[in-house]
Amino acid sequence: MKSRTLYFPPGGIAPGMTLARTITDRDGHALLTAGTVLTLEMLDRLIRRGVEAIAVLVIDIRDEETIAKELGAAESRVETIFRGSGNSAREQLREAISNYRQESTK
Amino acid sequence: MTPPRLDELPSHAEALPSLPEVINYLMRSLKDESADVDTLAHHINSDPAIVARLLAAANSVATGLTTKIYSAKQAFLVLGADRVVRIILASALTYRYDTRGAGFDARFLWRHSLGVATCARALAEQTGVNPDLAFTGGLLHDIGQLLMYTASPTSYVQALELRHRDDIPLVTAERSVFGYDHADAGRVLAITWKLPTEISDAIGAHHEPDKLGSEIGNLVHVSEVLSHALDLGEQPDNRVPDLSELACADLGLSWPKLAGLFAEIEARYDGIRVALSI
Repeated sequence: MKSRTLYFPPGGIAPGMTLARTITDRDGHALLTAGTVLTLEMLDRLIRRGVEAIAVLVIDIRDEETIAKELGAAESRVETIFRGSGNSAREQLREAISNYRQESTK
Repeated sequence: MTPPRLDELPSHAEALPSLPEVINYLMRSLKDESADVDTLAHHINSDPAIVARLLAAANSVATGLTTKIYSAKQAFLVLGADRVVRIILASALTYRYDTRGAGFDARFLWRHSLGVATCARALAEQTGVNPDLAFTGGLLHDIGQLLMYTASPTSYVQALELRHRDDIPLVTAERSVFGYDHADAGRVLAITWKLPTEISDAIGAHHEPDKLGSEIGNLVHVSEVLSHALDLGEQPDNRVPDLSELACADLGLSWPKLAGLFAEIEARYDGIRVALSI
């Protein structure tokens, strides 16, 4: 079954979800590695360590048509909020945001 | 009615609720490494309204914890001092300055400010700026709007309508009605409130950082633009403002590299917004 990676605050994570990315502390040491199935105790430890965002694998039930619609809506929103002319730094940011929206919606 | 001049604004600051003593203390202790948990908890406990909101927000942040948080001291021990201070600053400010009136609703301002604060802390962690100062500067960056609205609600709503009608930046609309903008007004308020210089610099520089050239001003400016670009708070007439090339260069920022942080910033923002119910 197809899955995608989504980030949630710890309060949005339920035990049993699978970690999509390795969580490291500030010094770069791995706290939990990608693929770990999260338990209540692990979530408790992550909250106490100050982790505020966790990437988990979520089953992707969207069909091609839904994904295409979501991609269109994401691109259209980027165009709306970046409306009007801007300097080159703003253009570079626009490109980064546009790529990010495309990648995270796919 | 003529809107007040910039030099008349300090006298209008009295019409805003005063900054709670606890908040003042926390801001002064932002750079103080020696502030210990017992002293911080003691100060916080002197304001029961702040304790109540801290506990509600802390338990929401810590949904999933096996134990409940039932005191300020416990919140410090479980979540860590820097996190508790962030929760208190954000919850106390959004509650105390919940200004609402015809054509103005501070909830939108706080949702946006929380977005800028979240971006500022994330960017500070990448650039070596003090993350707590960055968060606080982000949280307070638009406080000048509250002062301008309080000093002259009719003129401020006129500026908001002008911005909406002509789809121009808010600062342009404010300048045409008041002769100055909310960055100027916010700096005046920060000085009146005797906030740390870094905070008044961050507020004053957030739209035109090149004039001041300060690290914190650059950081809060970039965070303001990033928050708009990530659509945090999803304001209906959101438009990404111009981004200073110099501020990005001085901070050594590279968007292709920072793009890896975007999803995490969005999740962090959701976490604190839900915890504060704003």
